[in-house]
Amino acid sequence: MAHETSSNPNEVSHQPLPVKVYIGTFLGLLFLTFVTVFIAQFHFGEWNLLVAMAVAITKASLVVLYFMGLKHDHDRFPAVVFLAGLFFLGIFMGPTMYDHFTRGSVDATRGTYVRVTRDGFPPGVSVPLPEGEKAPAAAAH
Amino acid sequence: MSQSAGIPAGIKRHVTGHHFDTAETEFSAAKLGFWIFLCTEVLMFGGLFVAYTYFRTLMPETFAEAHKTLSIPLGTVNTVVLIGSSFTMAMSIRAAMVNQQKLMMVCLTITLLAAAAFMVIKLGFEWPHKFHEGTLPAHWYTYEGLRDVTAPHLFYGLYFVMTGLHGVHVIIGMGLIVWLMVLGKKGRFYSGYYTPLEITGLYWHFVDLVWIFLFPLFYLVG
Repeated sequence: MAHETSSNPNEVSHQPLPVKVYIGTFLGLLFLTFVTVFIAQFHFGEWNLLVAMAVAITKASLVVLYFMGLKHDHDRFPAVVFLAGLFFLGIFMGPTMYDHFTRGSVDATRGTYVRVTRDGFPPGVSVPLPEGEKAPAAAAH
Repeated sequence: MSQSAGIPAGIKRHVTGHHFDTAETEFSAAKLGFWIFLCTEVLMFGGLFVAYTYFRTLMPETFAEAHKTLSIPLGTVNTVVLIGSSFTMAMSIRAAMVNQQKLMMVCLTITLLAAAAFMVIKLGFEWPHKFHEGTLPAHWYTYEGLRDVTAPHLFYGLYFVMTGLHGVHVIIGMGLIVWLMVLGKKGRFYSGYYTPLEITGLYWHFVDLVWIFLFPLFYLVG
Protein backbone atom coordinates (compact mmCIF):
# COMPACT_ATOMS: atom_id res chain seq x y z
CA MET A 1 0.00 0.00 0.00
CA ALA A 2 1.44 3.30 -1.01
CA HIS A 3 1.07 5.69 1.87
CA GLU A 4 1.53 9.38 1.97
CA THR A 5 3.11 11.04 4.94
CA SER A 6 0.13 12.30 6.85
CA SER A 7 0.20 15.49 8.82
CA ASN A 8 -2.36 13.92 11.13
CA PRO A 9 -0.87 11.51 13.73
CA ASN A 10 -4.33 10.18 14.64
CA GLU A 11 -5.34 8.79 11.27
CA VAL A 12 -3.74 6.61 8.64
CA SER A 13 -3.82 7.57 5.01
CA HIS A 14 -3.63 4.54 2.72
CA GLN A 15 -4.24 4.27 -0.98
CA PRO A 16 -6.54 1.27 -1.58
CA LEU A 17 -5.82 -1.20 -4.39
CA PRO A 18 -8.08 -0.97 -7.43
CA VAL A 19 -11.24 -3.12 -7.26
CA LYS A 20 -10.11 -5.08 -10.32
CA VAL A 21 -7.22 -6.59 -8.33
CA TYR A 22 -9.72 -8.19 -5.91
CA ILE A 23 -12.11 -9.25 -8.67
CA GLY A 24 -9.21 -10.75 -10.64
CA THR A 25 -8.00 -12.68 -7.59
CA PHE A 26 -11.53 -13.92 -6.92
CA LEU A 27 -12.03 -15.10 -10.51
CA GLY A 28 -8.58 -16.70 -10.53
CA LEU A 29 -9.44 -18.66 -7.37
CA LEU A 30 -12.77 -19.79 -8.83
CA PHE A 31 -11.08 -20.88 -12.04
CA LEU A 32 -8.39 -22.86 -10.17
CA THR A 33 -11.06 -24.53 -8.01
CA PHE A 34 -12.81 -25.62 -11.19
CA VAL A 35 -9.49 -26.88 -12.64
CA THR A 36 -8.59 -28.92 -9.57
CA VAL A 37 -12.06 -30.52 -9.31
CA PHE A 38 -12.05 -31.28 -13.04
CA ILE A 39 -8.61 -32.90 -13.00
CA ALA A 40 -9.53 -35.03 -9.98
CA GLN A 41 -11.98 -36.95 -12.17
CA PHE A 42 -9.12 -38.50 -14.11
CA HIS A 43 -6.68 -40.93 -12.59
CA PHE A 44 -3.02 -40.30 -13.23
CA GLY A 45 -1.74 -42.07 -10.11
CA GLU A 46 0.81 -39.99 -8.23
CA TRP A 47 0.39 -37.10 -10.67
CA ASN A 48 -3.06 -36.37 -9.24
CA LEU A 49 -1.52 -35.41 -5.90
CA LEU A 50 1.21 -33.31 -7.55
CA VAL A 51 -1.26 -31.40 -9.73
CA ALA A 52 -3.70 -30.88 -6.83
CA MET A 53 -0.91 -29.57 -4.60
CA ALA A 54 0.48 -27.31 -7.35
CA VAL A 55 -3.00 -25.81 -7.83
CA ALA A 56 -3.52 -25.47 -4.05
CA ILE A 57 -0.18 -23.69 -3.64
CA THR A 58 -1.04 -21.33 -6.53
CA LYS A 59 -4.42 -20.57 -4.92
CA ALA A 60 -2.79 -20.05 -1.52
CA SER A 61 -0.27 -17.65 -3.09
CA LEU A 62 -3.09 -15.62 -4.67
CA VAL A 63 -4.85 -15.36 -1.30
CA VAL A 64 -1.67 -14.42 0.59
CA LEU A 65 -0.33 -11.95 -1.97
CA TYR A 66 -3.52 -10.11 -2.92
CA PHE A 67 -6.31 -10.74 -0.39
CA MET A 68 -3.93 -10.62 2.57
CA GLY A 69 -1.97 -7.88 0.84
CA LEU A 70 1.51 -9.28 1.42
CA LYS A 71 2.55 -8.06 -2.02
CA HIS A 72 1.50 -4.46 -1.40
CA ASP A 73 2.40 -4.03 2.27
CA HIS A 74 4.55 -0.98 2.74
CA ASP A 75 7.01 -2.86 4.91
CA ARG A 76 8.37 -6.40 4.61
CA PHE A 77 7.98 -7.47 8.26
CA PRO A 78 4.73 -9.43 7.79
CA ALA A 79 6.24 -11.27 4.82
CA VAL A 80 9.38 -12.16 6.80
CA VAL A 81 7.29 -13.38 9.74
CA PHE A 82 5.06 -15.47 7.49
CA LEU A 83 7.98 -17.02 5.59
CA ALA A 84 9.63 -17.83 8.94
CA GLY A 85 6.45 -19.69 9.90
CA LEU A 86 6.57 -21.68 6.65
CA PHE A 87 10.29 -22.35 7.22
CA PHE A 88 9.59 -23.89 10.62
CA LEU A 89 6.74 -25.90 9.14
CA GLY A 90 9.33 -27.22 6.65
CA ILE A 91 11.63 -28.20 9.53
CA PHE A 92 8.68 -29.98 11.12
CA MET A 93 7.59 -31.78 7.96
CA GLY A 94 10.98 -32.47 6.30
CA PRO A 95 12.93 -34.50 8.86
CA THR A 96 9.75 -36.29 9.99
CA MET A 97 9.09 -37.56 6.49
CA TYR A 98 12.79 -38.21 5.83
CA ASP A 99 12.82 -40.53 8.84
CA HIS A 100 9.56 -42.10 7.76
CA PHE A 101 10.72 -42.84 4.21
CA THR A 102 14.18 -44.17 5.12
CA ARG A 103 13.19 -46.56 7.90
CA GLY A 104 13.38 -49.45 5.39
CA SER A 105 16.91 -48.57 4.30
CA VAL A 106 18.46 -49.36 7.64
CA ASP A 107 20.40 -52.63 7.70
CA ALA A 108 18.53 -54.59 10.33
CA THR A 109 21.51 -56.79 11.19
CA ARG A 110 24.02 -53.99 11.73
CA GLY A 111 21.95 -50.86 12.35
CA THR A 112 23.90 -49.00 9.65
CA TYR A 113 22.47 -46.95 6.83
CA VAL A 114 23.25 -48.44 3.42
CA ARG A 115 21.52 -48.16 0.08
CA VAL A 116 22.41 -51.02 -2.25
CA THR A 117 20.65 -54.36 -2.36
CA ARG A 118 22.65 -57.41 -3.48
CA ASP A 119 21.51 -60.93 -4.22
CA GLY A 120 21.99 -63.22 -1.30
CA PHE A 121 22.23 -60.46 1.28
CA PRO A 122 19.57 -58.82 3.42
CA PRO A 123 17.97 -55.71 1.85
CA GLY A 124 20.17 -52.67 2.15
CA VAL A 125 23.41 -54.52 2.84
CA SER A 126 26.13 -53.36 0.48
CA VAL A 127 29.18 -54.84 2.16
CA PRO A 128 29.57 -58.64 2.33
CA LEU A 129 29.01 -59.87 5.85
CA PRO A 130 31.60 -62.12 7.54
CA GLU A 131 31.21 -65.79 6.54
CA GLY A 132 29.45 -66.97 9.67
CA GLU A 133 26.71 -64.30 9.57
CA LYS A 134 25.90 -64.56 5.88
CA ALA A 135 23.59 -67.54 5.79
CA PRO A 136 21.31 -66.83 8.78
CA ALA A 137 21.02 -63.13 7.95
CA ALA A 138 20.07 -63.85 4.33
CA ALA A 139 17.61 -66.49 5.45
CA ALA A 140 15.97 -64.16 7.94
CA HIS A 141 14.96 -61.80 5.15
CA MET B 1 -7.03 17.87 8.10
CA SER B 2 -7.10 17.70 4.33
CA GLN B 3 -8.39 14.12 4.41
CA SER B 4 -11.64 14.95 6.24
CA ALA B 5 -13.17 15.82 2.87
CA GLY B 6 -14.72 12.43 2.08
CA ILE B 7 -15.46 11.33 5.61
CA PRO B 8 -19.24 11.14 6.24
CA ALA B 9 -20.86 12.77 9.24
CA GLY B 10 -21.52 10.44 12.17
CA ILE B 11 -18.07 8.86 12.00
CA LYS B 12 -16.18 8.74 15.27
CA ARG B 13 -12.68 9.99 14.43
CA HIS B 14 -9.88 7.80 15.69
CA VAL B 15 -7.43 8.89 18.37
CA THR B 16 -4.10 7.06 18.32
CA GLY B 17 -3.18 5.21 21.51
CA HIS B 18 -0.88 7.26 23.74
CA HIS B 19 1.88 4.66 23.46
CA PHE B 20 2.17 5.16 19.71
CA ASP B 21 3.74 8.07 17.85
CA THR B 22 1.44 8.00 14.89
CA ALA B 23 -1.58 6.09 13.61
CA GLU B 24 0.73 4.60 10.99
CA THR B 25 2.95 2.98 13.65
CA GLU B 26 -0.12 1.79 15.50
CA PHE B 27 -1.54 0.19 12.35
CA SER B 28 1.74 -1.53 11.41
CA ALA B 29 2.29 -2.84 14.93
CA ALA B 30 -1.20 -4.34 15.11
CA LYS B 31 -0.73 -5.93 11.71
CA LEU B 32 2.70 -7.38 12.51
CA GLY B 33 1.37 -8.77 15.78
CA PHE B 34 -1.43 -10.48 13.96
CA TRP B 35 0.93 -12.03 11.41
CA ILE B 36 2.92 -13.49 14.30
CA PHE B 37 -0.31 -14.99 15.62
CA LEU B 38 -1.00 -16.40 12.15
CA CYS B 39 2.42 -18.10 12.29
CA THR B 40 1.34 -19.99 15.41
CA GLU B 41 -1.78 -20.96 13.48
CA VAL B 42 0.34 -22.20 10.57
CA LEU B 43 2.24 -24.42 12.99
CA MET B 44 -0.89 -25.67 14.77
CA PHE B 45 -2.54 -26.74 11.51
CA GLY B 46 0.93 -27.74 10.28
CA GLY B 47 1.16 -30.42 12.96
CA LEU B 48 -2.06 -31.92 11.68
CA PHE B 49 -0.84 -31.76 8.08
CA VAL B 50 2.33 -33.60 9.14
CA ALA B 51 0.16 -36.29 10.77
CA TYR B 52 -1.91 -36.47 7.57
CA THR B 53 1.19 -36.87 5.37
CA TYR B 54 2.65 -39.48 7.72
CA PHE B 55 -0.42 -41.71 7.76
CA ARG B 56 -1.16 -41.18 4.10
CA THR B 57 2.28 -42.47 3.07
CA LEU B 58 1.95 -45.29 5.61
CA MET B 59 -1.39 -46.52 4.21
CA PRO B 60 -2.06 -44.96 0.79
CA GLU B 61 -4.74 -47.49 -0.21
CA THR B 62 -6.79 -46.63 2.92
CA PHE B 63 -6.80 -42.95 1.95
CA ALA B 64 -7.54 -43.76 -1.70
CA GLU B 65 -10.59 -45.82 -0.75
CA ALA B 66 -11.89 -43.86 2.25
CA HIS B 67 -11.88 -40.48 0.50
CA LYS B 68 -14.54 -41.77 -1.89
CA THR B 69 -17.08 -41.61 0.94
CA LEU B 70 -16.72 -37.79 1.05
CA SER B 71 -19.00 -35.72 -1.19
CA ILE B 72 -17.06 -33.78 -3.85
CA PRO B 73 -20.10 -31.59 -4.79
CA LEU B 74 -20.60 -30.47 -1.17
CA GLY B 75 -16.87 -29.88 -0.77
CA THR B 76 -16.75 -27.84 -3.99
CA VAL B 77 -19.74 -25.72 -2.97
CA ASN B 78 -18.06 -25.04 0.38
CA THR B 79 -14.83 -24.05 -1.39
CA VAL B 80 -16.67 -21.57 -3.62
CA VAL B 81 -18.62 -20.21 -0.63
CA LEU B 82 -15.40 -19.64 1.34
CA ILE B 83 -13.56 -18.04 -1.59
CA GLY B 84 -16.55 -15.76 -2.16
CA SER B 85 -16.56 -14.76 1.51
CA SER B 86 -12.84 -13.98 1.32
CA PHE B 87 -13.57 -11.71 -1.64
CA THR B 88 -16.39 -9.85 0.15
CA MET B 89 -14.16 -9.51 3.23
CA ALA B 90 -11.42 -7.90 1.13
CA MET B 91 -14.04 -5.65 -0.49
CA SER B 92 -15.42 -4.53 2.89
CA ILE B 93 -11.93 -3.39 3.93
CA ARG B 94 -11.51 -1.53 0.67
CA ALA B 95 -14.95 0.06 1.10
CA ALA B 96 -13.94 1.36 4.55
CA MET B 97 -10.72 2.78 3.08
CA VAL B 98 -12.68 4.83 0.55
CA ASN B 99 -15.42 5.82 3.05
CA GLN B 100 -18.22 3.76 1.52
CA GLN B 101 -19.62 2.65 4.86
CA LYS B 102 -22.84 1.25 3.37
CA LEU B 103 -20.94 -1.00 0.97
CA MET B 104 -18.72 -2.05 3.87
CA MET B 105 -21.74 -3.20 5.90
CA VAL B 106 -23.25 -5.01 2.90
CA CYS B 107 -19.97 -6.85 2.27
CA LEU B 108 -19.62 -7.80 5.94
CA THR B 109 -23.20 -9.12 5.95
CA ILE B 110 -22.54 -11.26 2.86
CA THR B 111 -19.32 -12.57 4.46
CA LEU B 112 -21.23 -13.52 7.61
CA LEU B 113 -23.96 -15.26 5.60
CA ALA B 114 -21.37 -17.17 3.56
CA ALA B 115 -19.65 -18.31 6.76
CA ALA B 116 -23.01 -19.47 8.10
CA ALA B 117 -23.73 -21.30 4.82
CA PHE B 118 -20.36 -23.05 5.09
CA MET B 119 -21.15 -24.27 8.60
CA VAL B 120 -24.68 -25.35 7.63
CA ILE B 121 -23.31 -27.47 4.78
CA LYS B 122 -20.66 -28.96 7.08
CA LEU B 123 -22.70 -29.54 10.24
CA GLY B 124 -26.13 -29.90 8.63
CA PHE B 125 -25.34 -32.14 5.64
CA GLU B 126 -21.86 -33.68 5.68
CA TRP B 127 -21.38 -34.63 9.32
CA PRO B 128 -24.88 -36.08 10.03
CA HIS B 129 -24.41 -38.33 7.00
CA LYS B 130 -21.14 -39.61 8.52
CA PHE B 131 -22.70 -40.11 11.95
CA HIS B 132 -25.44 -42.09 10.24
CA GLU B 133 -23.06 -44.27 8.21
CA GLY B 134 -20.59 -44.75 11.05
CA THR B 135 -17.60 -43.34 9.14
CA LEU B 136 -16.21 -41.98 12.41
CA PRO B 137 -12.85 -41.88 14.23
CA ALA B 138 -11.46 -44.53 16.57
CA HIS B 139 -13.87 -46.96 18.24
CA TRP B 140 -16.93 -45.04 17.02
CA TYR B 141 -16.16 -46.39 13.55
CA THR B 142 -18.92 -48.81 12.52
CA TYR B 143 -18.98 -48.46 8.71
CA GLU B 144 -19.31 -51.73 6.77
CA GLY B 145 -18.20 -50.54 3.33
CA LEU B 146 -14.40 -50.47 3.79
CA ARG B 147 -13.57 -53.98 4.91
CA ASP B 148 -10.40 -54.65 2.89
CA VAL B 149 -8.21 -51.65 3.81
CA THR B 150 -6.11 -51.12 6.96
CA ALA B 151 -7.39 -48.83 9.71
CA PRO B 152 -9.89 -46.62 7.82
CA HIS B 153 -10.93 -45.05 11.15
CA LEU B 154 -7.58 -43.20 11.05
CA PHE B 155 -8.66 -41.37 7.90
CA TYR B 156 -11.86 -40.23 9.60
CA GLY B 157 -9.94 -39.29 12.74
CA LEU B 158 -7.82 -36.92 10.65
CA TYR B 159 -10.86 -35.73 8.70
CA PHE B 160 -12.90 -34.85 11.78
CA VAL B 161 -10.05 -33.25 13.70
CA MET B 162 -8.77 -31.18 10.76
CA THR B 163 -12.10 -30.01 9.34
CA GLY B 164 -13.39 -29.69 12.93
CA LEU B 165 -10.56 -27.38 13.97
CA HIS B 166 -11.11 -25.44 10.75
CA GLY B 167 -14.83 -25.24 11.54
CA VAL B 168 -14.04 -23.83 14.99
CA HIS B 169 -12.02 -21.14 13.24
CA VAL B 170 -14.96 -20.34 10.96
CA ILE B 171 -17.26 -19.98 14.00
CA ILE B 172 -14.75 -17.69 15.75
CA GLY B 173 -14.50 -15.72 12.51
CA MET B 174 -18.28 -15.29 12.45
CA GLY B 175 -18.11 -13.87 15.97
CA LEU B 176 -15.41 -11.43 14.88
CA ILE B 177 -17.44 -10.33 11.85
CA VAL B 178 -20.47 -9.65 14.09
CA TRP B 179 -18.16 -7.55 16.29
CA LEU B 180 -16.99 -5.63 13.19
CA MET B 181 -20.59 -5.00 12.17
CA VAL B 182 -21.41 -3.62 15.62
CA LEU B 183 -18.41 -1.28 15.48
CA GLY B 184 -19.23 -0.41 11.87
CA LYS B 185 -22.78 0.53 12.85
CA LYS B 186 -21.33 2.79 15.53
CA GLY B 187 -19.34 4.56 12.82
CA ARG B 188 -15.88 3.52 13.94
CA PHE B 189 -14.41 2.60 10.54
CA TYR B 190 -13.33 5.05 7.84
CA SER B 191 -10.34 5.92 5.71
CA GLY B 192 -8.38 7.09 8.77
CA TYR B 193 -8.97 3.99 10.90
CA TYR B 194 -9.83 0.43 9.90
CA THR B 195 -7.35 -1.72 11.88
CA PRO B 196 -9.92 -4.23 13.28
CA LEU B 197 -11.28 -4.76 9.75
CA GLU B 198 -7.81 -5.29 8.31
CA ILE B 199 -6.85 -7.76 11.02
CA THR B 200 -10.08 -9.75 10.98
CA GLY B 201 -9.64 -9.82 7.20
CA LEU B 202 -6.21 -11.43 7.63
CA TYR B 203 -7.74 -13.99 9.98
CA TRP B 204 -10.57 -14.73 7.58
CA HIS B 205 -8.25 -15.16 4.59
CA PHE B 206 -6.13 -17.52 6.68
CA VAL B 207 -9.21 -19.67 7.35
CA ASP B 208 -9.75 -19.71 3.57
CA LEU B 209 -6.08 -20.64 3.12
CA VAL B 210 -6.39 -23.72 5.35
CA TRP B 211 -9.48 -24.85 3.48
CA ILE B 212 -7.65 -24.48 0.15
CA PHE B 213 -5.37 -27.33 1.33
CA LEU B 214 -7.97 -29.38 3.21
CA PHE B 215 -10.29 -29.56 0.21
CA PRO B 216 -7.97 -31.33 -2.29
CA LEU B 217 -6.27 -33.47 0.38
CA PHE B 218 -9.49 -34.95 1.74
CA TYR B 219 -12.07 -34.68 -1.02
CA LEU B 220 -10.07 -34.95 -4.25
CA VAL B 221 -6.93 -37.03 -3.77
CA GLY B 222 -7.51 -38.79 -0.49
